[in-house]
Amino acid sequence: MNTPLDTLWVLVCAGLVFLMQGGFLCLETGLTRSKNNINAAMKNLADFCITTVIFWAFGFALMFGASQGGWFGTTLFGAELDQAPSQLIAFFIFQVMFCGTAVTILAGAVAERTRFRAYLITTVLISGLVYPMFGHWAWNGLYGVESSGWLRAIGFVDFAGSSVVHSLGGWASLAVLIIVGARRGRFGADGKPVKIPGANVPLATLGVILLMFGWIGFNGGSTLVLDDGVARIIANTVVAASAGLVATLLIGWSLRRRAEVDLLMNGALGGAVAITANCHAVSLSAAVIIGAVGGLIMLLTDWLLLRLKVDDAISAVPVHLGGGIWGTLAVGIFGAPELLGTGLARGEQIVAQLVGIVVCGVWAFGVTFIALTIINRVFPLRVSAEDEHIGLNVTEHGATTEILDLFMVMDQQSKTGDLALRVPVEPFTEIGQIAQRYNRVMDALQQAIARTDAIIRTAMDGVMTFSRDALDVLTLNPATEALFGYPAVQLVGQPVGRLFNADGQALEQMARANAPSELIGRRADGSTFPLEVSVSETAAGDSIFYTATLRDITFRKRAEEELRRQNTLLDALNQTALTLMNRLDLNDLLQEIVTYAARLMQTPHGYIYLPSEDEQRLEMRVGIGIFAETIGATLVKGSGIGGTVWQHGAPVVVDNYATWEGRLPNAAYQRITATVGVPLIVRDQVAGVLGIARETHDQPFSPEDVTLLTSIAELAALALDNAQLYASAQEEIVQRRQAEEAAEAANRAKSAFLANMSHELRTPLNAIIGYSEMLQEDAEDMGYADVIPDLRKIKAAGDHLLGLINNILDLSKIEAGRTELYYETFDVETMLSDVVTTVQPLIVKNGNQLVTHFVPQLGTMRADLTKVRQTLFNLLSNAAKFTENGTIMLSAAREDSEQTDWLTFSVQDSGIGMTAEQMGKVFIEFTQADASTTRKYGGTGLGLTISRRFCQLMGGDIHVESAPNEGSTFTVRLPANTEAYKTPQGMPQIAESAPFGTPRTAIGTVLVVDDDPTVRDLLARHLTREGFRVETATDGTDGLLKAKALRPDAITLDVLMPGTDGWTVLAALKSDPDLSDIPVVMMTITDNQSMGFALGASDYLTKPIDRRRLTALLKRYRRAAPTTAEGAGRVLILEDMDVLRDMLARTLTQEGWQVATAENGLVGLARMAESVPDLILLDLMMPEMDGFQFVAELRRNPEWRGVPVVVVTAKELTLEDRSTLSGYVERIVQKGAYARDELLREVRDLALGYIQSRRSENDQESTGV
Amino acid sequence: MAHILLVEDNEMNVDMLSRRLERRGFQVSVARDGAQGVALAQSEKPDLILMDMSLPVMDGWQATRTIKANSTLKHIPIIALTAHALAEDREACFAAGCDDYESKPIRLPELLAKIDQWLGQASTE
Repeated sequence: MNTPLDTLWVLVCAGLVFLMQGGFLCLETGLTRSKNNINAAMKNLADFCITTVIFWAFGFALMFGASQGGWFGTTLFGAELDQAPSQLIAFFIFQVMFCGTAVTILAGAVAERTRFRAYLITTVLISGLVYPMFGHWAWNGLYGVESSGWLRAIGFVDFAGSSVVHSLGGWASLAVLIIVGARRGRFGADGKPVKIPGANVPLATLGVILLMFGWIGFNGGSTLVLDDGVARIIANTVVAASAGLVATLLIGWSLRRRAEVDLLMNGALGGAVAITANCHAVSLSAAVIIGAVGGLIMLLTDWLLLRLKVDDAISAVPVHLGGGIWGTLAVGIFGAPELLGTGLARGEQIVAQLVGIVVCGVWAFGVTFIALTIINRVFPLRVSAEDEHIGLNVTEHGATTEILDLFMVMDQQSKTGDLALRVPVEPFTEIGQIAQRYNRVMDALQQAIARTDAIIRTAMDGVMTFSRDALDVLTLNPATEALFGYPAVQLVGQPVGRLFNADGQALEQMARANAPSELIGRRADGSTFPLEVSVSETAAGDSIFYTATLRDITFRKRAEEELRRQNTLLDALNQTALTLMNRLDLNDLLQEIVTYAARLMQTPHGYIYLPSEDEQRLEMRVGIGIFAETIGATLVKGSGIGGTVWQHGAPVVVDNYATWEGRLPNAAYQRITATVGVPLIVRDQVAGVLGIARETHDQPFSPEDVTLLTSIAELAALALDNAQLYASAQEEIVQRRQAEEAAEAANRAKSAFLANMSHELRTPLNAIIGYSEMLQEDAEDMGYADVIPDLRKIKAAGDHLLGLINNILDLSKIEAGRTELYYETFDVETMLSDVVTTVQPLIVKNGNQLVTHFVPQLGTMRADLTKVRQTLFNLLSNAAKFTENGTIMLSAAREDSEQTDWLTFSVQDSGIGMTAEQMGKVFIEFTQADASTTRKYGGTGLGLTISRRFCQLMGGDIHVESAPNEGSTFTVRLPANTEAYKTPQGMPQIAESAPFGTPRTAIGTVLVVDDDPTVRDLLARHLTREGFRVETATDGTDGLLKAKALRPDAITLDVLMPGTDGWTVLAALKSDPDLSDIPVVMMTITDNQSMGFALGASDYLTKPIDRRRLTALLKRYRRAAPTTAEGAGRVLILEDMDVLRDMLARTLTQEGWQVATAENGLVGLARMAESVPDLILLDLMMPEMDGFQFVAELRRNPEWRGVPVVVVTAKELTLEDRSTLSGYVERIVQKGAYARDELLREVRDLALGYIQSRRSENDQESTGV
Repeated sequence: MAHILLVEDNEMNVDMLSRRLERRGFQVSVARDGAQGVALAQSEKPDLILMDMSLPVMDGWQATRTIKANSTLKHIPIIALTAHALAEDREACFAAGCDDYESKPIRLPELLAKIDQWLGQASTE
């Protein structure tokens, strides 16, 4: 400072550096929160003023006064400056600014948490001791005195205070930061730093620019002269600061992926700090490098501090300490030695710089740390957490702002949750507008909450919230209070575990499940209750809490429990009902009832009393447990439980049997304590008593027990009724069966008796009649005419007796329902003339005359010929008996219409006649019209009865018309086909193909194939009696199927059947290897008289014709045929095959027949018209008119009807088949040739023969022969 | 003249019937029970047998079956002659092998007709 211009320059620079105070203020207030901004500003202002005073008083002296050994100054204390030259004063001003800067660095770093007082103490410490001492070591001798600080003496260069101001400020800040710790919330729970945003970043940026601007003076003024170097210094400063920003931005941006504010601001400051020590001695290029590295070191230090959890509010340490150390070191690295002027080589310079750096650190950090640690004990550096939260503006300075007021109210509101609070509104300010809006939002919110709240408060269900982490109750509604019996105040903050049994994990699951869970609630009084809880999670801002809906489900549980109990009961009852209803045996049932009832009552003791038959007493029918001993015991009405229940018809419950007045003295009952009896009520009557008892120590019976028992009793009564009905039904069935058996036995006995009687009477009768006849013959031969009438009387008496026996047998058979009807189709007129012939002698005997009156064309009828004949004979003989010298008329008529076909026979006499009363008795057994008539006319009195029964059996009846002395008319009406009118009394006809009374062990099976039910019946009956099993088939197809299924031992086959005829069936049977060896009996029980399809051929011959058979056959017919005048029978051959016709004709001619031939049916009929033959040989298959048509024509002509027809057939059978067949068709049976019985025997023998032959074959096979 | 074997245990009937048959020219042998009847049938080879059914030792049904089972005798016609006059008795006789049936008391003309019929058949065959 040689010229006034230099002085001016220094003063201007001092002003510029002073401006840095403003820069720091802007930076620090802008980067801190607004609640602390006033505090920050105040610290800046305060520390500057305090520093100025201290620095004037002794700091300047310590730093720049004459050095004591290079360690501290001893001159230039406050007063000494009074006379100091203006240059020194200018220097003093300049240095005051530097000192203020160093202290101010600290203000920013420890902002927002340091007490103002403590900060001021720190300010005193740094400005009064730490700064001036190190400043002395580095800078003493720069101006005013000749001495030198020891660091300067060893060549340490710190041009404008990278170390002296910045590093030192940084070190001190670091010490304070370590002592006061980080601001609240700067580091999260996980240790990660949480950014605390500055309140006004543009202001902070302005601060940075002011700092950079001030830096021009800071560095530029440090030359203390306005010389050539100043421009370079200023350029270096600006360039380095900019390079710092650029480098930091480039690197930091790429690392953090954002151009964050601190990168920009601190980068520039870091660069500026770094250049401060060396700006006078480096090139611009070097300045760029130094600035850039300074910025990066700032970045590195910043990162390091965060790692170490050191909270530097405005990154003062990274900027000033980091940048300062680097800048100081850079002096050695980049500084031009000639400009440094230390005379040291670059290495030596670097060493000197390192020494300065270390000394600065040790001194600044060490002293500050130690001093403040001690001071911290007395005057805590840090504000309270609450103050820190409120903000230092208020707590340290009582300074508020309108926004602060706003925040205060809001804070209180958030703390208390009091929605009624409203923020103060400062009109016409921005904050006031916000406050007004906020109040409106709060109005709306309060309203909405009030509505929700109303719902929650009045909700029936308990609603509460509780924290997720601690599970502490947050809020609850009145229903919750009522639910648990606590007032809300007692519950808030309490763990929910006090209220119900769920831990955090369970609650989390419930919240996730989103469905109610059943828990156990615990009330204030310690009682528990079933609780239904639904939990949901609610996130409100940062906090997450649970909302629970709570419902007391005691009643629901109880209802459910009741329902379950009822269901169990119903199940038990159903089970009982099922089991009981299935028991029909009374004793089993009773046992079952008692067992069930006792089981349900959980006791082993029970009994049932039923009334005795005379209803006078009760008898114990079943008993279990102690009652097992008293089974059979009896009670009278009103005695014991049973008698009392019986008397009143209502349940009786006794809790203590020993003291009950109605108790029985029975020793077995001593053990009973509680007992209950219920009536079994069947159809409004007490039909029994069900009782259950319990022993000592057991519970008495509850009303529920009695209800249950009554229910069981109701079911049991139903079952009992059921069983009793069943038992009586069973008894009835047994009785009926016994009665039936008795009746049957009686019937059998009667039949046996009758059969016996018949037999025993017939034997002597045989002798009586025989001898009387013999004697009669003898008398006639010997001429004893006088004894003949007597002998006749004996015989007549015998005959009468025989008639009586026969009639009784007939009647008993009718009554036993064993009368068999043998249906035949017969010519009515022929039958009538037979009867007339038979009865004629009787008619004549009384001098009567028989007149007949038959309508023409009576035709045929189907009935039991014998019985029809017997009936008419009876009526005629009766008429003859009761008529003398009169006329008896037999008339016959036929009512033939589409619906009906009936025959009427009437017998009219001119005899004694009958009264109406007599007519009523006439058909009753053993009754004649008058008892006297018996004596007079004789007779058994059974004839009319039997006749009428016969007619009824055949579907008809007999009626009588008579008047005394005017004769009687008996009219018989019968259906023309009585078979169609079978009555139940008649022999039941065999159903189609039904099995017949099959013998226990059949000796073989016969298949009867016939379309005629009579034939089937006849054969089946007969063969069954012979021990065969008989199966029947109604037609050829059915027959084939059954033959295949049954493999019978013999088959009888009707030749003529509708559909598949016998021959066709035969062919099929013989062509089936499985069936071919079964003997087949061809049957033609065809009736000449029957209508329809019957072929009616007399015999069959099969082709190829066996000559011998033909001859034998013809012989028979020849014998039967009336011999003609020519002495030879006439035969007509119908055959379409010329060869066969010629052969037959030749053969027959040789046999002595007169032969006529025809090649078809038409020609045959023509031959018939020419001359009626004695025999016809008929081929069935012919052109023009076949054999069937021919026979049908033949039957139509009465003259031709009697001509025997021998069918020569190869119908559908090949020659080869026929040859096979001939061995198997054992017989061709024809009605005319055999009696019926013989026919049946034939079949039987064939079947037996077949079985035997098969057996012997098997035997041979099995014995290996 | 035809030889008739009468199998009958009732003395009166034997007497009466044999006399009446002999009077009509038949040669009559008498067996008093079924076994005897079979023996006589074998030894005398009658042309026709009149068989009572209720017989001691061996009944008529059994005797008939025995005779009919014998190939040398089975051609002999057997007429059942029995006081068992019910329809089923008749069936039983046929079942046993009787060729014809006549119930007691005997109507001689009918019996003679049957005898003639059977003897006639036998002679023509």
